[in-house]
Amino acid sequence: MDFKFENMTAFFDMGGYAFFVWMSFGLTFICMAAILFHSLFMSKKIKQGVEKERARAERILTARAARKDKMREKRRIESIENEDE
Amino acid sequence: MWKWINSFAKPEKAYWLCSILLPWFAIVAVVSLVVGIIWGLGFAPSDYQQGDSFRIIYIHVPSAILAMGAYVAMAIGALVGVVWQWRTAFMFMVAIAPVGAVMTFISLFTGSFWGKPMWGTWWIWDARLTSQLILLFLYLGVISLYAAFEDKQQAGKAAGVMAMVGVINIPIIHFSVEWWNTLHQGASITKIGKPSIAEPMLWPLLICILGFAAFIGWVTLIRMKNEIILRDMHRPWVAKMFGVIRPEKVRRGDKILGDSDKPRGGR
Repeated sequence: MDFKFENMTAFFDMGGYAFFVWMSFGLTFICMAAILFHSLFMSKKIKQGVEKERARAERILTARAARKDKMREKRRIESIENEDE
Repeated sequence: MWKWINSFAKPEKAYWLCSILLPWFAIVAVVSLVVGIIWGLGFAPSDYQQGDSFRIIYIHVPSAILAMGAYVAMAIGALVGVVWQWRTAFMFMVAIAPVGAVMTFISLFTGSFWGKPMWGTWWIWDARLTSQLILLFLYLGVISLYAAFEDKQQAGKAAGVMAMVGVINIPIIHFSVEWWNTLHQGASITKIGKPSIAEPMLWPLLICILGFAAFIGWVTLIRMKNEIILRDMHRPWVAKMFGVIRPEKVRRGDKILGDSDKPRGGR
């Protein structure tokens, strides 16, 4: 098996059909790259969405825990004040 | 005996399978596409009638065959989804549809770029070309029907029925070159008996077909994983995998921080 063209110029000329052959291959490459990268991009977006959701949940829980501690502290102070009276 | 196959109806099992298969499809796709296209463009002998313009065959035929193959796969997915109520089958259906549509589109315009120098026209309303165009519209129909419903289980059923009905177009495309007088040449490799294409031209073509098939599989798996996560974002198994917790479901008395890797709540 050997290279069927005499040189690279002949290869790029494609026996006079350069426009048709290279347009076909070029556009096909673009289409395939487009669907592949669109899928990968979506996948990244979804992962980011999941990560955002996770961060949000963590934030809510942290806030809730902090609020609980604050309330407990408040009750403790109140009960001390009540004992004093 | 075949009961184990039912476990793939579960999204987490399907997700796991996708992740395992994905790298293999990617490797096969890249290697065979590079080898097949370089071989086809530079090392296959040129055609005695069509010269070097015939080299478009190395993308035209694989994309056309696999556009039909992907459609059949999609319709099988739809059938499984409708009959056995597999959510994942609908996810597969909607994952492969855009990939198949792109393949159909590629087969149409490469056909145009081949038709112009050989037939003297970019387009003709001939049986093969028209039925392939209908295939593109069927794909677009399935995609848009699925997108039109808010409830994705309903969407899957509606789009699934359309996908199954559309299968009638596949034999029409295949036999169009025999049933009607058409400008398009007859089948050269998918016919019974010996293929009517010389071996040095056939080998790179088969490698290209393998490459396109693996490429479709690769992109479909990526899209399927996307679809599974998108649909199941709030289910416990996704929560477990990505460490997402739903604060609405956490009980007040729970020890909250420091163990967010454990699954919690969910539907």
